[in-house]
Amino acid sequence: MALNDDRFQEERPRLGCGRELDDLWASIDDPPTAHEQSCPDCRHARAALHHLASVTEAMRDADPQDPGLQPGDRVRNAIMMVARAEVRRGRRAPLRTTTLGTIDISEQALTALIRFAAGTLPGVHARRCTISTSGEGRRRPIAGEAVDVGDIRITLKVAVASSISIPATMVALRERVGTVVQAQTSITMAQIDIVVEDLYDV
Amino acid sequence: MARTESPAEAAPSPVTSVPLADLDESTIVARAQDGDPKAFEWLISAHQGGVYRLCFRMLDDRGHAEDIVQETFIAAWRGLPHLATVQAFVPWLYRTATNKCLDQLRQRKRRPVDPTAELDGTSMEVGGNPSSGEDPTRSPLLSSRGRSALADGGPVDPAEQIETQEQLRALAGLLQTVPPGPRACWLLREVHGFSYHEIAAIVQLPESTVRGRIARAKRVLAEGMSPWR
Repeated sequence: MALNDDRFQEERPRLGCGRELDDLWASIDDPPTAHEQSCPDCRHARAALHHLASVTEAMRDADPQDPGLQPGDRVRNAIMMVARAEVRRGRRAPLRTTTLGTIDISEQALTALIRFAAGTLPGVHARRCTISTSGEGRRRPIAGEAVDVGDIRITLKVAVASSISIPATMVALRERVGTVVQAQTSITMAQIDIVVEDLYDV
Repeated sequence: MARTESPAEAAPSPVTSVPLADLDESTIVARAQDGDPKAFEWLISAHQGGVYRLCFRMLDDRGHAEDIVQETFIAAWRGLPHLATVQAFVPWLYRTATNKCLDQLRQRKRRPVDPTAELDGTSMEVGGNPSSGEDPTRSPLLSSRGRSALADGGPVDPAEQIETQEQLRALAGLLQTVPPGPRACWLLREVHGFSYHEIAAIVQLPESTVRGRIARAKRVLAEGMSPWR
């Protein structure tokens, strides 16, 4: 259909000899074919594309080094100001009650502690960590509400090095996380599930 | 009261955890998904330059490019927990930034920023041809690029360096004459190194359309660069 042909021409530019520009570009680093050596359209386009390729490469190399082509500090500051103001602390776990009130640890601080503990084992990169308690059912947890510290269950996702023994490392990891959290917060976790989701070095 | 000390401070330990810089990027994205501000700040450092350069080459305006980088990363922070896979993060950033740039260029077309440009008969789209290299609004950035080309080159022929600078300036100017859609595809492919498949996902178009747009951009640029050979 004529309309489709026109649209095709519009979308995929061709040289005077009928060849698609994209095809020519794909073989720009190969030696010219017999047709390209004899066809003036191809010869001219090849030279022009070759030149464009070298200037493009120069731009690709020069731009990231150019201090004038970096966003100013105000950009990072503005983004981080919003990010810090919107830190999702999640629920809170009461650790101890004193005469001055209750000392809580936020879900966010607890998961950070768990990731820290996991990261002390060689070959383990701790990723996402979720905390659940058996009592909450299917209800979505509400930020700021208190959780039952006697029934904390975690699921920790990790990426591991391809060289480690996964079963032995998982035993050590479960023990390390449990010990560090117990020592730092006095929370004894009811369940520690670990999911190996990736090998980070392959 | 919630305890918010960082674990490293709260838990002095004979063993140390892996520093952020030694982690793989997927792990850092996963931590940012869990709301770790340090992980997120690392991602800003890693990607703000690339996103900014895409926006700057799309918009040819430093301030607007910075605004879009800021909006993109704030949207990223809010959207991260819902990201399906960690590998989707970088394409998502470029997709958000590209869409914002295209929206802004559409708005400019409807309502030109500089009314005198309209009176002079020069539209926003053709403002960057090589002959307008002396445009005072553009020259500081071009000259800063020129300086860095000189600084990086080491002991190279100065005439050659000047020629390279002129060619980079010509390419940057010509790029502004390429329509926004093909310009975005060309930048994503040739400068930022995304595959056709990835670009199709970023701009939400079939791969064949992406190939066509890149070829159109190459034709405009290659023809325009010819006088500089």
